[in-house]
Amino acid sequence: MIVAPGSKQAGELLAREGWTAELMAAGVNVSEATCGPCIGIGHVPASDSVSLRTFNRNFEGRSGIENDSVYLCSPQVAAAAALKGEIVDPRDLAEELGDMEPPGVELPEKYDGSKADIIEPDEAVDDDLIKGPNIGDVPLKDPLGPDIGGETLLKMEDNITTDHIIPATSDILKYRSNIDKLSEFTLSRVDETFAERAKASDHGVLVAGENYGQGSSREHAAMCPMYLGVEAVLAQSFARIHKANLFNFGLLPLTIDEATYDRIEQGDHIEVVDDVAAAVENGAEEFTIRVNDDWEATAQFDASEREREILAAGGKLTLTKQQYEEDSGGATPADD
Amino acid sequence: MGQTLTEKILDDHLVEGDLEPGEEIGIEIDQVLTQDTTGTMVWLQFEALELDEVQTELAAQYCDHQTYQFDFKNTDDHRFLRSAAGTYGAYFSRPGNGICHNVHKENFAAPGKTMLGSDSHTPTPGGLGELAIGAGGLDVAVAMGGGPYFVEMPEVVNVRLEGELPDWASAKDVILELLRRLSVKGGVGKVFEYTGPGVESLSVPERTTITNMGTELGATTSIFPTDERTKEYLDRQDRGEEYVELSPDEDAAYADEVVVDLSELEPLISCPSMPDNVVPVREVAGTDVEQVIVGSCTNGGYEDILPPPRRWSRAARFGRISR
Repeated sequence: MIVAPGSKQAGELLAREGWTAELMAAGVNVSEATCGPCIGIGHVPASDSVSLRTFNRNFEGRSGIENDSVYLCSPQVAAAAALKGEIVDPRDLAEELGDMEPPGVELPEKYDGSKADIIEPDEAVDDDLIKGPNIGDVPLKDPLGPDIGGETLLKMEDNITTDHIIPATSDILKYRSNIDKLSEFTLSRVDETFAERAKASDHGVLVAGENYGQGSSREHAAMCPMYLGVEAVLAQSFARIHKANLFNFGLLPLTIDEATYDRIEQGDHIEVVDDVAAAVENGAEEFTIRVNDDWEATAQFDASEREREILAAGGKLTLTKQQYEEDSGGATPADD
Repeated sequence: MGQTLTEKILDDHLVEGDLEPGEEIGIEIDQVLTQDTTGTMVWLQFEALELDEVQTELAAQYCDHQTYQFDFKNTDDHRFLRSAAGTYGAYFSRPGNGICHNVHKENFAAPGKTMLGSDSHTPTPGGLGELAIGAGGLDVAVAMGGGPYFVEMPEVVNVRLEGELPDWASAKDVILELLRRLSVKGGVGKVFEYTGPGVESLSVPERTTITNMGTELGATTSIFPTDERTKEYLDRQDRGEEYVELSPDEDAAYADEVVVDLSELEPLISCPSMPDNVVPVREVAGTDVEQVIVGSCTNGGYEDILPPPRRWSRAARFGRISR
């Protein structure tokens, strides 16, 4: 059994009260406070094994191994399983052992952990940015043009998570500040050849089922496809944060119905028939897509005025800079 | 017509739009949270926007995902983040100090504030009556520069809690029960606002377990009202003066209502490999387990870790752990 306190404050309190020693004596491994195992960094489960965790996500592969078998539960259920070696309802284990009391919830009298690891803004140790060799630039996109389309580089199923789009395992996570390198891993969990094919094709589209982009907030899941040349994502529905991120990086999110989704195949050439830049600006809520120059379907476009502006500018960074410049009459932004 | 708690906080921070579900609104952001895997891009974009200084009341940069620093690239990222926090005026939490949501809850989360964070579990402080929303890094950078955050006005769902949790059931089972009923898509475009007599039976750490994992429902955020339990928690964190009493109006109108009778809950478990694949623990009892981990931003608190060593008998503590 591994205990990873969520914070040093929690770890420090448990240590001060002697509980850490009790845990260690009982055979528990006590970790530093980290997200670590929740994103596949450390404590990766053995192959073909069950891992029981008190975490919030068990998306396939997130623990650091494909085809993992991760269960999520309360600390009470986790601790019961640690004793028994198998999943067991703690009520049944309590009856079996006869000496386990229900745990209840107790707050400490005082959360008096040290604040030594928080540096306040006015105690800053640096006043210049320090960038190592792995820290790159923010990729930018050109303003939206009239033509959008290309090969269907990948057709995906329902509930594709941001872990599928940009995996967060340790071998990949270290490139989060280096988009050129990070983009090589885009959608590799779905198709290892994707990044190479996307880069070679120069422009293309993604097709997905329901709830595309659920999971984390990572904007890299929009930034990297954009960097590789993806221009639009056609899905049956989108997760909220990811859809906002698609706009922010100038990618066109289009909603398609199930019949259209079923009919499109990976490799199909999809083009948006409309003049996209003009249609986005004019408030169009529907686009016509033409597939393989053979058949057509309607795709829905649900965007606010502001999102249309972002898309037209080629992304939110470019638009925001333009707005700052307008606000300050062309000069750099004011200091206030 | 009265207001929900969500509407009250949004109204206090509204800069653009109307509080109509589906309409885009712009809100002022009080607090910002970033972590190490999304934070570098946040600050690179802050720099690219040629901004000079953080404009929100508070910004905090945490280092929690890559704390082991097994590659110099991680350590370089942390050094860069420390330098960005210093340069632009944010709090900096060193690697190893804890998961952003936990450290933020302990040090900064405050009732009635709005927060934007570049992490999907940003809604955690909803357990203290803070309206906290996860967003992409660029949205966070722009908010930190003083710009409003734009979001589609969500529907507010009333999750009415009744009764009290029985022995061995926990706050985790409350959110697992909601996932079982509503699925990982059930919360899209929604805020889950917890009300009812069961609320006061839950301490702040239990409430934040629920709001943290509201993210798995796809919800925009989740929030609890504040009460004596909130004050109790803030007092013990030595931040009692930040307490504000917050609750929805009695005649608040909700888009939908879900009732959870806490007294009927039993230990639940989410099976591989989607958080909504939830069954009673007894249904999968007997499954051999090779690894057990207690921790995370959902259940990594003092209150979560304490029970095993404290409550179990000496025999259980010494020599009985088999995994």
